[in-house]
Amino acid sequence: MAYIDPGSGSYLLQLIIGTALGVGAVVALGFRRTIGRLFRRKKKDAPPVVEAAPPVVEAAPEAEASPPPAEPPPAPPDQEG
Amino acid sequence: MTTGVVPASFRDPAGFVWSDNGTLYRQINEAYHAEYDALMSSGLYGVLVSKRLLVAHEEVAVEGPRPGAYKTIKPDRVELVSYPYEWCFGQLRHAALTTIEVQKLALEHGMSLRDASAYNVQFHRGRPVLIDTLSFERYEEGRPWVAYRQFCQHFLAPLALMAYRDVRLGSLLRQYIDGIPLDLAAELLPRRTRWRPSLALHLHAHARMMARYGKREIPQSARRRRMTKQALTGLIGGLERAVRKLKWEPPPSAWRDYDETKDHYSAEATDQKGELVAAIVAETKPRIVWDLGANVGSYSRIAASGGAFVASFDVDPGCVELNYRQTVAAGETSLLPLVCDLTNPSPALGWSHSERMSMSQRGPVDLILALALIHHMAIGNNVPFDRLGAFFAELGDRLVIEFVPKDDPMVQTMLSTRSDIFTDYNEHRFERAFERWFEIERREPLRDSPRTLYLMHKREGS
Repeated sequence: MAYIDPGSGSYLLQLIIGTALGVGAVVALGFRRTIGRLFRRKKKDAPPVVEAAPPVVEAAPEAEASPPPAEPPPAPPDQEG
Repeated sequence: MTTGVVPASFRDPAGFVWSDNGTLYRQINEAYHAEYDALMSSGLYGVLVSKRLLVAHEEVAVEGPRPGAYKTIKPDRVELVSYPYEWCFGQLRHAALTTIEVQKLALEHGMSLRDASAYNVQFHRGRPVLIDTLSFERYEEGRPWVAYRQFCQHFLAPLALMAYRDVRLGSLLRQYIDGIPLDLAAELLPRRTRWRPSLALHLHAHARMMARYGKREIPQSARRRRMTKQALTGLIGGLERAVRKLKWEPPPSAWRDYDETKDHYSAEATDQKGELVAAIVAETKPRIVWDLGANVGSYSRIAASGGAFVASFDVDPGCVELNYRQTVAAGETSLLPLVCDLTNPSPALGWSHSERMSMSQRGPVDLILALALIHHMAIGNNVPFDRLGAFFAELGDRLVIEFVPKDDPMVQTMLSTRSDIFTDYNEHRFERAFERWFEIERREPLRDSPRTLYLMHKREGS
């Protein structure tokens, strides 16, 4: 039903942005898992006395758990095409 | 009253708008049958209307003027059709955010906007709403947003130019009816915008991609690639952040601070003028008022409080911006500020001069306010009185006009740097010229001022 021209350049740019967002999402997920594992290991190794220990935040903050950032890093300004 | 297909409604095979004795209808063609049913059954229509993001409509049993109709709908009518090149920065930004919000909700309901034209947004009861009910299609998983380029050209590019270069560049939309070409926007924007991630991506990189691939087909390898819904949502979110980051603050200007700094009026004259406008509105009960040279809209508000819908025109984008902000802050529903240079008002534009109406084609209205304006037209722009009378008679049936004589301090200031070639500029000549088009109903000299306020109505047949 597209009655307007999406423009080849616009179409391709969106695919690039989509790929970048996908890569960003994978990296963010990997980062969160790694951090999560580290925290879990620390928790296991921690001494049973918890009186003086600060509260452990296991999950990543809400903002990090939200969908990946919409904008990938900017294209170098002088990059052609 | 016009009857027939609205000349601007011809691009989309899904349907078109037509008018029958002043009532607007939209014919939905069979080609759009499935998409329309999806819009209505998905719940999206209900959500958008309840959030006042889409104009409401009712389905009617009226036959459209062309074959191939699936349904006919009667949409709510906006008070006055206005165009993006007549909006201030805040209005265009608000319209952009409305489009984004609509697209986000559409995706949540399994649909997507298939265009993102700024002309599909109109101000209705004080807020921007999408008026094109046929702008939706069922979302197809993996497909990029077909309206991305249009959104960037119609909204992001002009907003960035207005915010980063000069607010007057919004008038480029008058020249480029399908939005500002991205290569032009990229060239006009300051270099520092290349380091703003959102603008670097959606304008600068976008312009280069369009230049490189503009004339080429999309390669087969790219056609097979898909854009996930999560990525598409991310793109829309990025566009929203890009728009939200764009800000513009009106600089101090003579007109912006006119109300506070005017020393050529006594408080008594100002109050009297306001009371006279209120009394005339109460007496003549206009449905629609155009306030020409409205500044920040003080007298427009007086007229609106009398029950009229008021379009509040001014040449200064800063005044219009402040006027619009006040409209939004106060939740005013019957006032629409617009940018307009009366010495060069909006012409008819587009294909066959008929896609966008001229200013006068959107009239005539019930009442014109022309307060503290005539000297700017007659002396500032050398327009003779009879031409001014003809112009006002084209725009409205009644006229409230303030005559500002030569000995007024404002006129004296205007004449201080030029030779006085205006030998006919006096009240007698003014009345004689305007009486060709209007009958004078009232003459009210303003107290403590050399100025006079007139109420006139148009002569039969003029």
